[in-house]
Amino acid sequence: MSPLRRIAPSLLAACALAPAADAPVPPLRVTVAAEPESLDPALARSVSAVFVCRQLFEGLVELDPETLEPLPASASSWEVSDGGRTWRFRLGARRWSDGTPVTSADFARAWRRALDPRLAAPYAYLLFGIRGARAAYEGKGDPAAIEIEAPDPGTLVARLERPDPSFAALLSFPTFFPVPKGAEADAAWTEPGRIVSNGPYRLAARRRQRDLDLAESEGYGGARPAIPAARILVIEDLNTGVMMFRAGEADWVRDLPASQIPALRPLPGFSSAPYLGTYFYRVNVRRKPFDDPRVRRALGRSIDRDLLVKALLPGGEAPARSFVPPGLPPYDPPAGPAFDPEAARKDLADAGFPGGRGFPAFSILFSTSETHRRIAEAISGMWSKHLGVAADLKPMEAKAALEATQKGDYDVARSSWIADVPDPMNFLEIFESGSGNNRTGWASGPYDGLLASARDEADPARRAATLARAEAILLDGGPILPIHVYANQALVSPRIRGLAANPLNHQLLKRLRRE
Amino acid sequence: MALALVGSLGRKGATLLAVLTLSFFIAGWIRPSPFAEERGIPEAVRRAEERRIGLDRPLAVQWARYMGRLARLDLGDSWRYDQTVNGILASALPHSLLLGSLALAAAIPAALLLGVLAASRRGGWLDALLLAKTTLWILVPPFVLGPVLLVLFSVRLGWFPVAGWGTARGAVLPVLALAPAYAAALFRLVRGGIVEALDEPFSRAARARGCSRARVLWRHALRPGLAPALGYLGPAAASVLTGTLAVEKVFAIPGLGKHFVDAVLQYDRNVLLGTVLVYTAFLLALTAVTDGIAAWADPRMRADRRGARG
Repeated sequence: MSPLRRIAPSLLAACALAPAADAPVPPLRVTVAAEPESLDPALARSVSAVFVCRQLFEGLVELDPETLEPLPASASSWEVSDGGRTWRFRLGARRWSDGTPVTSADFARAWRRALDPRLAAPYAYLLFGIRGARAAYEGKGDPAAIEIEAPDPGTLVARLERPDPSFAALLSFPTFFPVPKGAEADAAWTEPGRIVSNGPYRLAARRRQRDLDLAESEGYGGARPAIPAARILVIEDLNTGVMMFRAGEADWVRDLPASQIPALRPLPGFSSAPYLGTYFYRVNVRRKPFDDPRVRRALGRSIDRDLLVKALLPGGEAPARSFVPPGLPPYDPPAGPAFDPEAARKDLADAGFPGGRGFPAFSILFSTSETHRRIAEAISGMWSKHLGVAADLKPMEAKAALEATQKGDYDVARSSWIADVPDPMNFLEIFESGSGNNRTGWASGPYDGLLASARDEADPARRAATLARAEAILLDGGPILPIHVYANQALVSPRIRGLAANPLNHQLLKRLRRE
Repeated sequence: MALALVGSLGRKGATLLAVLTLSFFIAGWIRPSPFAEERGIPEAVRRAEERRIGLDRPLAVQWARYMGRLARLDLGDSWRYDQTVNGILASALPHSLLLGSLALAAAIPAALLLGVLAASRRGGWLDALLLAKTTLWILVPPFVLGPVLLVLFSVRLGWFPVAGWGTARGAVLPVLALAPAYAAALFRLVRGGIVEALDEPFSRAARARGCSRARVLWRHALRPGLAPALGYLGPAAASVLTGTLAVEKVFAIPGLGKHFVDAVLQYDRNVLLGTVLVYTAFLLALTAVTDGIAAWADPRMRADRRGARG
C-alpha cells in the first residue's frame, strides 16, 4: 500500500473535523438620524456627531452604561486633592490608530485647543471649571495661564477654580477627548484615510450623507470590542429606519417616529427609557404682565400635564414636575407646581386679572412642528378654560424662532434642554442671571447665590441639597413652565446584547455583543 | 451661427448671474444668524465666527467676495458641515443625476408610447383608461408612493432592499416611485399635442391626399405634436436631475435635494447658493436643448423664429 493510501483516511478525517475558517462577523448596523457635522470631538454638536465621536475616540473617563458613574477609560486612575480642586490622572497604555502612544500632552493640547475662541467649540464652556480657562476663552486672560499640565507622558493634572465632584463625569464628553498631533494645522484631519483616533474603533470608510464604516482599532490598548465592525447608517427619514429594522437591514434604530410608537411597542426589540431632557416653556419676564410671578404661577398651575402627556405623547414621555428630570442621584428634584386650577385663578386674581379680565392677548412661540403645535393648542385651551386668558399660536421656522427667543422678542416660547452631562447644574446654570442661555430676563440673587454656593461644595449630598433649594426658587413663579420629560425610544435586534437604558442614552459599541 | 451661439451663451450667463445675485441678496436680507442654536455660544464667539465667514461686512461687500471666489470656481465652505460646497456638490450631484436619469429613462419611452397609442385611439376605451390612470399617477405624489412601495415590496415581500441605493436592486423602487408622476404629465402632453396636430390643416391635407392614418400620425403629426411635451421636459428634467427631496429622503439616497432644503432651514448660505447655481445652470442648459429639439420637431417654430428676426 502506498504511503498516501495509508494516510488518506486520516487526512480525510482531519479535514472533516477541522473547524471551518472563522466566518467574518457581519458589521453591526446602527442608524443615526442626521449626518454628523464633524468628527472633530471639539466640534461635535449634534447627537449623531457625539455618538460617532464616542466610538472613535476615548476620553480619560467613560460613564457606566447603567449607573452613569465615571469609570476609568484612557485614565487608569485618578486622585483628587486640594479640597477637590486638583485632579491628577494616570494614563493607561493606549495607542492612537496609527500606533503611536496616547500621552497626557495629547489631552492637554486638545483641552487648550477647545478653549481657543477661534475654534468656536460649541461645548467649550464645559472646560470653564479649569482655572484660567474662562478668562482665556473670553480674551481676558493669557492662554498660558490655563492650569492644565502634562508633567510626564503618563500624567495629566488639572486645577479647578472650585471643587467640582462632577468633574470626572464631564470628562466623558467629546470636548475633553484628545486629538492627534497636527490636528490644529490640518483642517481635513478627520477625512477617511487621514483621521487618527484613539478609541476602540477607527474610521475605515465614509460616504457622506450615507454611512460610516467603523473597524476595530488594532492598536487601541483596551479591551477588544466583541463586535469588531459597525456600519453607522445615516437615515434621516425615521419611517425608513423602522422599515429597515423590519426588513432586517438594521440592527439598532436609534430614532423612531413619534406617530408610530403605539404600533411599534409590541415589536420584540422595542425599548423606551426616560431621557435627561425637559420640554418647557420660557416666559419673558421683561414683558408685562409676565413680570409678575403670580401670573407665571397661575400659568404653570393651570397646565394639566398628566392629561397632556396621556393624550398627545405616546412615546413614554412623563409629565415634568420639575426642570431637572429625575434620574441623577443623589439629586432629588423638588416638586414644582401641581395642576391646581383654583389656586391658579386665585394667583391671577391677586395679580389684578380676576377671571382673566383685562389680561392682554399673547402668543406662544414655537418652531414649526406638528408636535409643538398640538401641545401649544392644548395648553392654550387649558389657559382659556381655567384662567380665561387668550393665547394664540405663533409657529416660526426653527432658526428664526431661536433668534426671536434670543432677542427676547416673544411672550411665551417653547424650549427644551437636554443634558450634556449627568449633573443637575447643567440644567440649573442656564437660568443664572448672566447666562446667555437664560433669555427670559429673569434674575434672582438668592438663586445665583445658591448656585455659586453649590459650586464651592465638595460634598455631593450637600451640593445636591443646595441645588434643590435653587430649583425650588426657579419653579415657584420663575420664568419657566416645565411640561414633560423626554423619553428615548429605540428598536434593537434581540440578538444584540449589552445595551443599557441610561437617561443620557450614552452608548458605547465596544460594550455590545451579538448572540 | 457662432455669433448666435456666443450671444445665447452670454444671455444664459447673465441670467445665471442675475439669479445668483437675487438669491444672495434675498438670503442675506432675511437671514437669521447661522449660529442660532438652543445652546447658545457666547456673544463674543458668535461675533468672531460671523467675522470669520464675513457676515460682519455689508452685504454688497459679501456679494463681491462671493463673486470673486465664484470666478475661481470656489463655492466656499459649508457653514454647517466640515465640507466645501464643491465637495458637497461633487458627492451629492451624481446620485441625483443617476436617480433622475433612470426615472426619465423609464418615464419618457412609456409616455411616448402610451401618448401615441392614446392619441391614435382618441375617444376610445383605451384612451379613457390611460387618461384615468395617468390622472391617478399625477395625484399620487412620490412621497406617498415611495413608502407604499417600500412596505409592499421591501418589508412584506422582501424583493427589494429598503435603503439599497448603490445596487441595481436598490435602484428599482426609487425609480418606480419617481417616474410615474413625470410619465403621467408627459403622457398627457404627448397625447394632447398629437391630438391637436392631427386636427391641424396639414394633417387634414395629408388625409385628403390619401395618406393612411398611420402615415398621417407618424409622418405628419408626431413631430409637431411633441412640442408641448418638449417644452415641459426641459424644466422637468432640470428639476428631477438636481434632486428630488421626497424620494431621496425616503430611500436614503445621498442626493442634492436634501442639501437644498437643509441649507434653507439651517441658513447655510454657501450651500444654498451652490444648489441654486446647479439647478439654474441645468434649467438653462436643458431648456436650451429641448427648445432646440422642439424647433427641429416643429418646422413652424423655425419659421416663426425666422419671421421674428425679419
